[in-house]
Amino acid sequence: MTTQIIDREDLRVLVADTIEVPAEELTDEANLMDNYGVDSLMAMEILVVLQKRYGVKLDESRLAEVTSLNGVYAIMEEAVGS
Amino acid sequence: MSLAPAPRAAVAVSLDASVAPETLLLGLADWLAPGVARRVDRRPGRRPRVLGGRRVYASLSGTPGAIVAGVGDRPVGVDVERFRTMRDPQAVGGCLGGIASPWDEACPHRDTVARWTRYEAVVKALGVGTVIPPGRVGVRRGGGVRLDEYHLPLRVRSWRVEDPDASNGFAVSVAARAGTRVLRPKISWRDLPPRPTDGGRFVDHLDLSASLTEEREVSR
Repeated sequence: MTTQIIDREDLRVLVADTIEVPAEELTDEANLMDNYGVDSLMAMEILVVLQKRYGVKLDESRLAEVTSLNGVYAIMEEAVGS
Repeated sequence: MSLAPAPRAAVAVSLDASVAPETLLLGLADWLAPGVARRVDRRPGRRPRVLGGRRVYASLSGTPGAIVAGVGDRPVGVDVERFRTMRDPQAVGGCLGGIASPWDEACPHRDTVARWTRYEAVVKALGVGTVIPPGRVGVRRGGGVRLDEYHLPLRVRSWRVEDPDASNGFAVSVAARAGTRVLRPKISWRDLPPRPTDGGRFVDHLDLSASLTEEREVSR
């Protein structure tokens, strides 16, 4: 099985693009809801975009973990490494 | 022998940014079970609770520009979302396969937002949040709810979703047990006595007549 490497900067650009904020403003720890107004539907959009970009199936029950770039990174690392 | 009255739920929409969600909730709770002092207990990731008096179930939702509150004799869930364009509404909508749009509209952006709103109302009514993936929740056009291949330690049969007209660019849904009369009461906000709220400022001069109608059934 091939394991993809997730480039954190690629991920940052992808997420920033989805929530329409400049990538340079999206920090690893910032709370997506509090800092960028990301709601649950936007979080779902992020999961969908990631699934398409990386060709992985993400468990939608992990929606609540889409709270920061670090959280997204953790979901993706687990998804591509499993 | 008289039959027990049907359980009731009440929903209110405010498009006034100055309204504290707790105030809206307290107003509805007063309408549903009047005459007792109450306060609202809100904690992240948990249902809001209206304290004092007999038990009423509560639900709150907010998005920039709108808040929606719901109370009921039985569990209730509400959600509000602003209609907006998405990068890939079909892909997001594909995750909501079992949830029908409340409208016969061909706009994928609008439909996806409306269907998501229905999903959120259901999982909030169930009290489980987005732990249940959207693909497992089904809502028919008429509002009937089903859960596919998902096991919960609670009764999930006989739930329904109503979609009150919020207008002004927002989708609103309320989920309650079937048989519940879902109402939008007319509340005289000026008559509410001042009372403390947790977190939100009290507003005693609201005029929500534009968003609240005479008491009427939400059900179509």
